[in-house]
Amino acid sequence: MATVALGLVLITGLARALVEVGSWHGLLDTSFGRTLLVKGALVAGLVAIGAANRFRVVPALRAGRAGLQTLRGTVRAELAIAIPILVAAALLSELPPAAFVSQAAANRQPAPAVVVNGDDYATTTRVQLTVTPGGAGPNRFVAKVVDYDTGQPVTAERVSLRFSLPARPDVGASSLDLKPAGEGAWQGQGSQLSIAGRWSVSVLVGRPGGAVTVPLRLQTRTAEPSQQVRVSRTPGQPTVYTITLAQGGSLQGYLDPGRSGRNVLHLTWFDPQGRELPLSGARASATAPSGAADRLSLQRFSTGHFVANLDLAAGRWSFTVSATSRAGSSTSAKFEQVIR
Amino acid sequence: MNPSRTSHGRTLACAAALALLLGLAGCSSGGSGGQATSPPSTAAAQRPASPAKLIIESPHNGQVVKGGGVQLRLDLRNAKVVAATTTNIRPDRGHVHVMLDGRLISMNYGLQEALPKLAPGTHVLQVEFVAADHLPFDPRILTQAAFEVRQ
Repeated sequence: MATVALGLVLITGLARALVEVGSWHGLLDTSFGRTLLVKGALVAGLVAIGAANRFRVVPALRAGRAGLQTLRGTVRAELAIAIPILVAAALLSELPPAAFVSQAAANRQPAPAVVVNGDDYATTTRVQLTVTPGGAGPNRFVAKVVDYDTGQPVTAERVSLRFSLPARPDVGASSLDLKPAGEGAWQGQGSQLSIAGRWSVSVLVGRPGGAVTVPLRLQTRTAEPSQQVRVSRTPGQPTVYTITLAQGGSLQGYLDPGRSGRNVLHLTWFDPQGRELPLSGARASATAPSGAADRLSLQRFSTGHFVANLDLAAGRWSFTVSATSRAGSSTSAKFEQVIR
Repeated sequence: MNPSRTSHGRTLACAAALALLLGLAGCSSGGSGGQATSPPSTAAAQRPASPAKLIIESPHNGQVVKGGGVQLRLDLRNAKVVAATTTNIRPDRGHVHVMLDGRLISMNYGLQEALPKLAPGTHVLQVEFVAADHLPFDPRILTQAAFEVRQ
């Protein structure tokens, strides 16, 4: 009976671990996985001592070959192992499951960059310029210079970039000489994109037969603010997502009742003082567990409160929400909820 | 002392302890109903309890309405309806969310309204007194009435 119960516990524990860890990487490279490993080893030790008790100590006691002293020793050892197991279990309850951590890492966006393409007036040369991260400030520039017709890397003696900001003649033009990086690529680093805007970049390609200029237009990337989401879960209450907006203030979203079937999505925007933020408009889309995205039909109930009536199937739903304040600034936010 | 009984008891206790421990590990995600984009922090924000009592006077539960024109009439006690939307909430201030057949149809800053024309059949009306931040109180001040519309 006890062996069957122990077997069941081990099987269900293993199944749970498979779901929550998901991969070898999750087991070895996350805090959750490592804690689970330690806990697994401790549990194995506890089971081994239990087995020793059952199959050795107890028969020995029966046969009178061992004294109670032996049993005391193994009980102490069990206690010594059980306490760290409790600590590991408590730790696991606080750590995000490895599968979630891995998923979050997989969802992370690649390094941001701005890529622009162009060719010279005589259509002899094509240039692809990749600017990383592409915002105002220091950037890494990689220019791939290829033949217009064949797409093969061209032999160039020098490649340089010249920057100007047409909308701001007061910002002086500057240039950057790039160094060859092989296979037609030239690279360099600099802070020539000193302010955000639409820059004019001339790529000067010095070839043995003469130089060509490839004009490019480059819009600096506006940094996407990192979003802070606080999730409030209280029994008997809807799960509430409070998203701190980069521009200040917050978006509060919740699904009521948050179970499969008919739901109401409430979205309310607040200013930093906690007052309703007057909006000129709001948009929202929902991505179903199948991956299909649909724009939601939002109804405005007050200046900063919008509602959508939805039919939700069970699974992980993702909501992307954007709004424009009456002052003209835009905000966007995203949150996910598992519907059961 | 019967060593055999003790051993069985101890092994069972050991299995029970293991179940408890593995169960604890399982709880780490079992309680999570949803996840948000990074970095989600979970906080069980305490919602206030409200002294409010909300009663649907019309249509009352089981009422049969002829013609489809239904007037909603509510009685709210121990609390006041206010139009403001703010996160600075008070337990006795808020407004009413009106849901018909699972759909939010209006947000009331009064206690009376004409419901939209309804198709014949049974309809479920739910009304909730919510705080000024549009979130429910805890426990929810929610009441409902099922009524029938006949031609």
